[in-house]
Amino acid sequence: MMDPEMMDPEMKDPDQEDREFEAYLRSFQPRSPRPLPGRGKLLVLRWRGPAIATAAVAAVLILALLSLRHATGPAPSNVARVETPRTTNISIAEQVSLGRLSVLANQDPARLEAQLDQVSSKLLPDVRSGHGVLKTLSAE
Amino acid sequence: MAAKLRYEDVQELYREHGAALLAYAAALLGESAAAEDVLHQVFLKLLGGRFGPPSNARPYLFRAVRNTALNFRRSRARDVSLNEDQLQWLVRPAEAVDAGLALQQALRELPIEQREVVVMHVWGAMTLEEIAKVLELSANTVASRYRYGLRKLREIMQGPRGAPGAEVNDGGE
Repeated sequence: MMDPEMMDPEMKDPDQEDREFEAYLRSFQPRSPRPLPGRGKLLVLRWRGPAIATAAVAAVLILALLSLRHATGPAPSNVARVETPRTTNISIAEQVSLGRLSVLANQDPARLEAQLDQVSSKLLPDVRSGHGVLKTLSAE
Repeated sequence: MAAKLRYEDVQELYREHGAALLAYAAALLGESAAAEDVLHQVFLKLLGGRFGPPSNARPYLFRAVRNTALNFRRSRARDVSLNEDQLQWLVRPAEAVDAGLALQQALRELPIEQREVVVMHVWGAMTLEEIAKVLELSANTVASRYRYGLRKLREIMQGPRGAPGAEVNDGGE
């Protein structure tokens, strides 16, 4: 019990009425709770959370992989096709480099002109083509 | 708090303190079903090894039940309304259930601060000093709450039905 020194003087000697009422209250007993789960159920309860979390993470990963694959599509043949024009561009860029054109202009102006014609036919749109952009625009 | 509690240790604590803790949780929550859930949560945590063995089990368990019950109430974000709860958590052998339900109803009418002190002292067999430690209050405050709670409870129970002595003697052995 608590230290009598700390108690209010009135508290040191609860009256008889309080004692009787306390005894009356104590004649009631708290009901026993339902039993705790057994070991087996406890294991299930303990691992249920982590199992659900693992399944959720796995589902998210699978969905992410599927959506990534869907967005990328079949890759190998396209990759090869993308590489080809890149090589051509580098070649054209080499052909029209300022240094190369300067050398040609000094040494052989006629060849420079032929070179420019060749490069422009590759880089610029073909206005004479039936499906060219300018042709289409002029038709409208 | 050193080694992990064994399953048998927890079962023993549950057998020894379960009923008093259930009464306390029910007094805080007002629903005996929710009180049992709270009680199981506390003991499942003990079984899960999240806590070591308490050096003084009873105050420790009451504090754990109190914290879990208050969290439970907050998470539900609702006021305690015990009117629909017909499950008894206070019983008296060889007595009509009405007496227990009437006592529960009277307890509900006490302010929660007084109610929890009365339940801990009367049915939890805790000293006022132990209660003061659990609630982090001074012993004088706890003693006052107990005294006022007890008197108010007596008034509620005796109120319209007759003299105080008659009610106590009528219900007592």
